[in-house]
Amino acid sequence: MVCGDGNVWLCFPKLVCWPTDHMENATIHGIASNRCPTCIIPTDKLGEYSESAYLTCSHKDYIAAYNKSDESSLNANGVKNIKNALWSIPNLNPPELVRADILHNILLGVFEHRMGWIQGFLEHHDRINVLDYLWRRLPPYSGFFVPTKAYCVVLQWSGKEMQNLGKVILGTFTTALRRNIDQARPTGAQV
Amino acid sequence: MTQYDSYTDQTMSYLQEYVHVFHETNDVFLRFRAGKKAKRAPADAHKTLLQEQTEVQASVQDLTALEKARLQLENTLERRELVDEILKDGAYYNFPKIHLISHYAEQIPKFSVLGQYSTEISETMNKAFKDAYQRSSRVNSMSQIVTTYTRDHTFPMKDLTIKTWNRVREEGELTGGVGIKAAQGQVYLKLRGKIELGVVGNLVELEGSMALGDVVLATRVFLTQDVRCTYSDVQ
Repeated sequence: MVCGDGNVWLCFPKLVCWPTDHMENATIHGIASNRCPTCIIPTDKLGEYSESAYLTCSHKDYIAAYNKSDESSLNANGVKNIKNALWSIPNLNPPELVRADILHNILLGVFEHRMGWIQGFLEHHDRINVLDYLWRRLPPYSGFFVPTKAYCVVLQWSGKEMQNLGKVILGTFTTALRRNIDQARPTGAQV
Repeated sequence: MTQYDSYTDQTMSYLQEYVHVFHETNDVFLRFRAGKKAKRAPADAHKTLLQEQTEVQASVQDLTALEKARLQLENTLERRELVDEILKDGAYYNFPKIHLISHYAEQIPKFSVLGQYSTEISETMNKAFKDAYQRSSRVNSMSQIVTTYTRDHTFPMKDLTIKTWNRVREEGELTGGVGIKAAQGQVYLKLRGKIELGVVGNLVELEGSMALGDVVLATRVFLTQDVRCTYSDVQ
């Protein structure tokens, strides 16, 4: 390869990571969408905490099963019965390509789920209006941009908005729960 | 814990502990995990139980106002418990994103902090294509997107080139073709191109291929740029 400084280098390209969201990972690893691309955790244990880590996916076994047309074995491991392009790349173990993706996994994934649970929880306990009231009255602070709309009005959240929300949600949530009624606190003039 | 730009063993232990505590206590939110399908069953059960309770309440006579109020409260609590139970039975946390968090504690010591692997940087590059689509006529948009994107990309590149030229001129670095006026530069580069392609080899060919004014201009630039670069003592 000719370098910018004019020198010619002998290069050995190596695929070391492939940062993507979970659905793209499922596609490139040829697995079902409810499977982990890194380990062999069963689908019904995904929501449970495990002290010891599960074994890493063995793509050597998947290749052997594919070559034998052993569809039942592939299905049992949640692997699609197709030839995976990653198998033909030398010195590559596909689970090592997976990297944690904060944007899709945390900010737009778990955070968004969590906000749905919190909203349901506060609706169930009649405190959702208080959350909206508190949300609109958050003061400006370094590294935090003040929301312009009520929480319930926003239909779609971006990654940055979620990150912003993550900084204040715990305080807002606990304050909302501490209020006795589902109403905004009256101002001095209203009193 | 994943947002920080550095990590220590202590922060890693915090991360693991928080994941553990989350799994220990996530029952609080379990009923709100119920999907549309899981929500239908408790609604039906609630309706049936309410009917039964109303019938029982109507059949019982001779109750004081206090006893009636107590009975109603008990019935309400019973219905709420039933709904909670059914919702919790139909809800679960078995989805991959919850599990993927447990791999973070392995990856951070191996590959350092997670911010550098976030797809946020690459996702922002989609904006240029989306903007290009918005500016297209929406009919056979592919070629229009490519044209718009290329044009939008070319302008910043030109800006960068001009900035570099200006910087080089200010620093007084004498590099061939750099830091000269645009009209002179065009003629100069044309001349250089012709020499490299072999179109121009001597003065006769030069006169034949270029206008006299251009030749004078290019020669002057050539003398002030190339010769001065090669022989720094020539002024």
